Amino acid sequence: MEKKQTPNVASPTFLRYALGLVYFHFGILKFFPDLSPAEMLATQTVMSMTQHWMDASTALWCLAVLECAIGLGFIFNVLPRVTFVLFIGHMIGTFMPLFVLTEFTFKFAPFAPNVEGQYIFKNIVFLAAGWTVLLPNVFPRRVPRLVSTANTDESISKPANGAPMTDKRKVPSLRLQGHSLPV
Amino acid sequence: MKPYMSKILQLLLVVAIVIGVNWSYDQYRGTGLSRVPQIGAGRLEAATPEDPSTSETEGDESSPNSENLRTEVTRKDYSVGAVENPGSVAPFIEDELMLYPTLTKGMRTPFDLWRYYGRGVSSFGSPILPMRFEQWLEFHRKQKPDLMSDVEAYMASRFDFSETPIIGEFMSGGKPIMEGPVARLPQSVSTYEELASMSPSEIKEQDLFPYKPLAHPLQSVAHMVFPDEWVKAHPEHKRIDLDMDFPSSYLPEFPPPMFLSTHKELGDVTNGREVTLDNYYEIFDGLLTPEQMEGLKELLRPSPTTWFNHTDHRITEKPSKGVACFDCHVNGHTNGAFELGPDSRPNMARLRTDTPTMRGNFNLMQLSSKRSIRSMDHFSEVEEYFDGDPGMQQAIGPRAAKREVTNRMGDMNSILDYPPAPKLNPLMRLIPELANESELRGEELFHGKAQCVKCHSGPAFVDDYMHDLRVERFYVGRPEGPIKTFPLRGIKDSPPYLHDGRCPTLHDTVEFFNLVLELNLTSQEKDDLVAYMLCL
Ligand code: HEC
Ligand code: HEC
Repeated sequence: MEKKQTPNVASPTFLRYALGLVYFHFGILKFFPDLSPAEMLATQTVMSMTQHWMDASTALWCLAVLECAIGLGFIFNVLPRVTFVLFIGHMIGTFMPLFVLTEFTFKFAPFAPNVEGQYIFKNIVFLAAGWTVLLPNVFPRRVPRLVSTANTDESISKPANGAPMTDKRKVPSLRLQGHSLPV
Repeated sequence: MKPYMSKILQLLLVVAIVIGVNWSYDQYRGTGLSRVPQIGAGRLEAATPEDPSTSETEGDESSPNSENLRTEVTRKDYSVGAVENPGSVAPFIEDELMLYPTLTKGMRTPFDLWRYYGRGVSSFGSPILPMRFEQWLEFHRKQKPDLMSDVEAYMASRFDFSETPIIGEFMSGGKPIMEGPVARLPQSVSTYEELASMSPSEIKEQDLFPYKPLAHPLQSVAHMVFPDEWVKAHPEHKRIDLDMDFPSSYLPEFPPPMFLSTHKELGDVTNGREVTLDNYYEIFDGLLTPEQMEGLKELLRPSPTTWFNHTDHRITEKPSKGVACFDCHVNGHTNGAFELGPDSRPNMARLRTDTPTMRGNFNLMQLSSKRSIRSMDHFSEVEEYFDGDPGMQQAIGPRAAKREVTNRMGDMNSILDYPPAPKLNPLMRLIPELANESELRGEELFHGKAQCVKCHSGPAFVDDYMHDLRVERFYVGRPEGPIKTFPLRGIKDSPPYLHDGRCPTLHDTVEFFNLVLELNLTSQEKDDLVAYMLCL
């Protein structure tokens, strides 16, 4: 039984670890002044958003704490709702340089980013990944029931009666993705 | 896999990252790329063939493996047993200071730069902007209003610019002189006398010192900032990124009178005009030697600078011809433009310096606050318009001032005289019949209780030494080190005071020295000292 489920959940697990690793690692770097390559962009964004009320080292420290917390949330798979909120907040933050530091992120706004701009644009993949990993834990009842304890393979490949997978009435006893991770 | 196994793996992952990053940081700091110094160790430690503790045997030069290896010598550890030798040189206090923020050109910098330390990415600059020029303009169009309102708020938090003049006292050309002290006292202290009764460490601990350094408000560009009055007359020097932070009333008069040591009888030779390339010949023909005339022309001829030039790497909307010596040292005096002293790296470690006067520089043995330049000729030669950056000159053009030319500039500088001081006798003492009670008491204090004369003596009231006033005893910050004594002859004409202008009035300088020299002067005594300095 347990073995059978593995293929279906392996990918989100990998994704969860990947996210956790990147968040935690790049977060930790920010505790060490001059070590994080994203320091300038990150601190300048926070500083300009707080109207320079926060100084660079405070801004960097706050970001470090935030990113490490999100990273740990992903890695240990704990407090999914808190992680989700922090994650979404952080993601919105990462896109802010495109608006507040336009000159430093675009060769020509809005369709020709520079390296930094591209680095930020790509976070949309992060957003999608985090969303995929966390959403089932945050809104369990709204999520497509992908994994059935009863008949795993079939419920995935061929939903009963060809009904959309989101139709929860059709598949009564399901286990939630994420909660049944076998790792 | 068992659930607890996965938890253990997760934990290991986290711990590994923490250890790895920590290790990387220790390896990275102190390397050429890192802005964080390595504490207490030479940079090339890895190249040392032996552990220094094992190679105690002195003079073992025949040792074959040390022969061809040049190793970096690190200081010996003289610790005896458990008594640790702290060493004579503490590199910095990491816990108290913060690393300079990572920035690129144009980005805002902290106003309290004294709280920061570290090295720069490089000693050399480049003429490349981090963005297209149109974006550069747009960026500053957005940033400047916010920056200037923060600058204004910051200056207002430090100084009370009430613009109250001292009744009956004027600069040589007639501009009113402002009353002080204008530096604001912290809330918890009600008078300067109360503050002066505290010890330096008490003032430091409670963060009460009112004369902390002033920073250039936009250190990532830095460069010269001209006063509003100057910019009104010379709109080509209007910066897109920043304006002057001092109100005009606390700056020198513009245009200032110009006195020649060769023509005392003429008084102000300019008749109230600003000397320019257009009018200099007409004003000076028949007054100067040909050498001086040529020097004057060179002092008036603009040349491109790091940020005032014809390339995109500039802070003016239109391409700029550059800046001339007399654009800051207008009429051989100063208009109060400020700059960074081109004496240190990274830029953020450089002191903000107000333009000093050139009047009476013929008497000075030390020129510039930190570089100890020894002659006017040499100063004209080295004057680092480019922020001392040879990396820029390929794009901007060299100064092209040959030594013959800079010697001529020196010839002209050498006849710029002080303003008249009719109350002083040849020994630079007050003539009693001409001076009032307060001024005479001030002179007495200057030579006595206040000890000013120890550093301010002779015809220019300067000792031509550099002194480390150790002002960092009064606040947590990076020490500023030795700075030359500035002369006090004609001092009423060149506010604001100290190298960075942190003392906007003469009253502030007296409060400053009262604290720094721990003099405990009474408020009457302070007024007397100011009255005296107004006579010099
Ligand atoms: C920003 C406008 C500016 C321009 C342009 C400028 N200076 Fe200066 N000058 C300064 C500042 C600021 C200092 C103080 C530097 C320091 O303390 O290290 C100074 C110092 C000096 C001093 C030493 C004065 C003293 O009391 O120590 C001399 C001499 C001098 N400049 C000559 C020149 C000459 C010659 C030129 C033209 C080649 C020139 N300056 C151009 C701003 C300027
Ligand atoms: C230990 C030597 C020393 C003594 C004593 C001393 N000064 Fe100074 N003075 C300096 C130095 C050094 C500077 C320049 C400091 C700087 O720019 O940061 C200076 C600068 C000044 C300035 C500003 C000059 C300018 O052009 O900006 C004034 C005014 C002044 N001193 C007045 C006084 C008075 C009044 C006293 C006596 C109460 C006094 N000084 C005692 C060393 C001294």
